Amino acid sequence: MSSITQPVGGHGHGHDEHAHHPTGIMRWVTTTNHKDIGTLYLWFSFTMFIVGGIMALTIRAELFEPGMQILAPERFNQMTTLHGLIMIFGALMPGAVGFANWMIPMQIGAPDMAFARMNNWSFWLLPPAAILLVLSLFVPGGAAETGWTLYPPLSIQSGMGMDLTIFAIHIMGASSIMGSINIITTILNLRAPGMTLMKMPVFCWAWLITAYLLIAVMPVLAGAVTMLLTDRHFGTSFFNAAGGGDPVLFQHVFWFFGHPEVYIIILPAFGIISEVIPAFSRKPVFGYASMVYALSAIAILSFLVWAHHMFTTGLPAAGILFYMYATMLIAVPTGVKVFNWLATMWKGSISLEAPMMFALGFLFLFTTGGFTGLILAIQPVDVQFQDTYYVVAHFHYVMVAGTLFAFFAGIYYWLPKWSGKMYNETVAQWHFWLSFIFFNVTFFPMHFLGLAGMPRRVPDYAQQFTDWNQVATIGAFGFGLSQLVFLYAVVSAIRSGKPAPAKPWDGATSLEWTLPSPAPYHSFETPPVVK
Amino acid sequence: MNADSLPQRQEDRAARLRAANRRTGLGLLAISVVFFVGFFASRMLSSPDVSIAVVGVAVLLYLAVAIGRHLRK
Repeated sequence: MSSITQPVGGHGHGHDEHAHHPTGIMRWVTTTNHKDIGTLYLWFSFTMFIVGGIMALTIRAELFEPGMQILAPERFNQMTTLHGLIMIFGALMPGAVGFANWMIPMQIGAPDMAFARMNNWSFWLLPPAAILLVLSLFVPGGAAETGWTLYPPLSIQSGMGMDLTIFAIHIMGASSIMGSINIITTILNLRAPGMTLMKMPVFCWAWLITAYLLIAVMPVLAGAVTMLLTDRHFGTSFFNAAGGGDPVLFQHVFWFFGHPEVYIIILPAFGIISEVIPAFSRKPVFGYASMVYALSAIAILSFLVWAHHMFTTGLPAAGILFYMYATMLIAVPTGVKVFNWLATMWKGSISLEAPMMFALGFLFLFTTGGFTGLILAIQPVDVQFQDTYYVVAHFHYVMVAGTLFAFFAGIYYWLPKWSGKMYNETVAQWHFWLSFIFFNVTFFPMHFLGLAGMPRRVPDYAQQFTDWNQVATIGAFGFGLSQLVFLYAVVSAIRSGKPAPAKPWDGATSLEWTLPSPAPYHSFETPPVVK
Repeated sequence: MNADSLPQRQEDRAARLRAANRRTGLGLLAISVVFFVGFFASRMLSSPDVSIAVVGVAVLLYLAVAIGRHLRK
């Protein structure tokens, strides 16, 4: 662990500050405090991660051997759909917003978010949406079985579960837009004196750009699913071929949202990694300005590549070439970021506490996912791998090893500031190594399965795919159980961890580390002056 | 300068900040509403290709302006 630079007792939460606030459950329902709301987002995200994870384990259990074991085929498809939707909209996005709520005001020296009440509302829209999604399993016809992409014509023909899914997406979209408005306004208007935009921590920059992306794509998704709804119930034919509509248009619109969505999820993770690596290398981040420019370039390029998800739909040759090269072009700013993280570590005084281990794990695994993405960007190759397990392996390397590992890094990094307690380093190291090993045991074999031609979203498969499927299933259960170690690490730290100093990490330099640990309920009521 | 001018100044500053927050928030909300409504409106244009191109160009312009103007600060 980094040396303790400024011992501060575990107080600092200022119980008197709570005196005029509701207590118990009402505190959490009515709170407008960014730290409380950040905590709510993070626990909600973890809960959804468990729910989505249980669905993933059910899927993997079914795939342990060929033939039908525990799920009917339609239930299997419902599980894959809900697993995707819950992980993306319920776990990863709210998790990232949780980090934003906790850290952005403290990193820019603001007392709270710009719209505190709207912040509360943004969060409390999520649980009903999540309940709708999960409840859709139990309505007649079951949940949507289209996969998270909701492609017509199946999504037009599905039962009532699809309506619940559309409604849930509307609610979660509204929550995301409100959250984004709040984040942009907070960053633009509430920065401490002297903190110019180009002095902000990279995490804040990553979130500023992410919020702009959300404002752009969420209305498009909302428009697309509204059209689906009217096609289903009001006789329109936007995507219904029988009425002259165009199902492929939905694919265009969905991926116009869906590809930037990947970056909406990964950019905050980039921000977290850009905080952790300099802190544990004891050097400022290498090439700050180029990091910001790279983030911006990734955001803009993310809107120019959506049709690489549709290479098999019969695009014109010029379109294929454009989307192929544009997709490869994204590797350039992403490569700039990876280079800068490596250059930050170069000749740094590196220490390998849990946050840094997860950051290194992120670097290694995300880059692997990035490379398989480059392979999939090549259209002739993509045509072969379309809808195979190679794609499943690729996006799990990006989403799980990318975003989730960055979240773990961020949680271990900031937990002392949030809770005022240190986590147990040994337990956290166990969590890292178990997660790292079992993640690879789960998802690396999927590359082989995909290369051999195993299609995704099937509950049964040919005999020759059995071995690697069994390895993947064992890995998945190991990865799932490893997260109990994470839960133990966090809960034991909060309940009985050693008191954390104000700045437990030598190399941490941003404003939040000037506050005591845990951070006071109201921080920076008088803005600090940044030079 | 009289004795209560400092709290008055702080109150004025807080009011200005709230107004600025409202302006920024409403501006962003307006953008998202325009994208939502514009998405439907663009379907009234000729083909699906034109429709997605119009929305795409609008979104790209918004992003280039929104992000680009901050990069100089």
